[in-house]
Amino acid sequence: MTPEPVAADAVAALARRAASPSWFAAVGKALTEAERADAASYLGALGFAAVAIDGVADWPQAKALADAPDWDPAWWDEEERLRIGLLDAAAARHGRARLLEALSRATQGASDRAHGQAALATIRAGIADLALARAAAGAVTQACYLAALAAAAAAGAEHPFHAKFRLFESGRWPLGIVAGRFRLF
Amino acid sequence: MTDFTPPQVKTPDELDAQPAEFQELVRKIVISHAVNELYGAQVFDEPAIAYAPTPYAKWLTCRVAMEEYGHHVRFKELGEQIGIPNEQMTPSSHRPLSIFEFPLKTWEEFCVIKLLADLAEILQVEDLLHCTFQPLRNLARMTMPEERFHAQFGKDFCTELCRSDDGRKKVQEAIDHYFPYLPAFFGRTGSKNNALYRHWGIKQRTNEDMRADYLERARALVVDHLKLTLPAVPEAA
Repeated sequence: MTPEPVAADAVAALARRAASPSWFAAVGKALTEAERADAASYLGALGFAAVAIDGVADWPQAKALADAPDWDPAWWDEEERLRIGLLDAAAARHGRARLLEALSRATQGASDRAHGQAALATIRAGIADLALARAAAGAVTQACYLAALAAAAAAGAEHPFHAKFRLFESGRWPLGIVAGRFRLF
Repeated sequence: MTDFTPPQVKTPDELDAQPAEFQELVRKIVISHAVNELYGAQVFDEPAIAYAPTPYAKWLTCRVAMEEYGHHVRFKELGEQIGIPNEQMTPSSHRPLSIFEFPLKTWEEFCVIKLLADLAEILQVEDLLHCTFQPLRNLARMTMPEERFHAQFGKDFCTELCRSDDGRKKVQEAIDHYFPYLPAFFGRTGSKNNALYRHWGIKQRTNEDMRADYLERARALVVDHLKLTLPAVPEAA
């Protein structure tokens, strides 16, 4: 099958979107209804519709939750299952090497920008933690990669990877399910 | 000793005007870094995301993988500027270093690789900080803070793992498995190639000097800090 030429376009469009957000601009603030709706959409599409959504107050609490030994790996595993399915579908459409190259290009710029903004955000919060800023940037990197992959596979706007990306775009950091509750920083 | 002073080459464009041997050595070292940074990201960093124990560690590893990939991109861009074909700067065109031939199996192995393999990388990059081909020197200065963070990442996580008996055992096993391959990174004792690099001021130190420095720094980390043991390594030929 001849690879479709649209992979680069779909992924590049996502990369352009990823170039403009103010990552982490809303962390610690009260959750809006729109953010709760996106979080509910993300959780519902992953199969965790019944899980309650909690805000997170500050960076130290966010770090503690993200690094909690009692985190629930089921949501990560479900994301991974979806990722593998999308990767196979997108690679079949566009060719694996070309797809991976496009995804790497799309995520690299976002990752560097997110790292700079995470470093500033933590410093403004009075926290000097190089690793925490990098973990935050890594979370954005992963979300961009997943959303770009969903775009390459022509998944609709309701796909959980798009919903997750929208949460990051709005300045949040979704931390996953810990102790039975979805934690949205 | 002669009075020879190697040229200071300030831009990629000036490389073509340099002696052929200087050009060849610069291209060789750029290819080596471009290939090995990508190998490392693909063989160790990306797979490690799955082994990391918490989302925090997974995301941190994700960013580290991106930084290693970014180093590959920067060396590749420099390579393009000095006329190296793209296909020569990807792992598919090169036999991997021996350490890359052992697929990652555990989180402890990854932490040990960051601790000890990235230390080896730091020494290689440190040696380029006074390189006469200044674009390469500048690249070394740019990537060094991230390389240092990666080694610190390995030290911090290994320290954490060693707080439990099971963790200590697994970290020691990973050291025993991977460490013997690392001193070979620095090349052969008495290498003619290394003598040429030093003649042109591209590298500053002999292979044996760097290896000895590496072994001492690795010993300080593993024996003094982690209170573990370093396996014996074969003498380099």
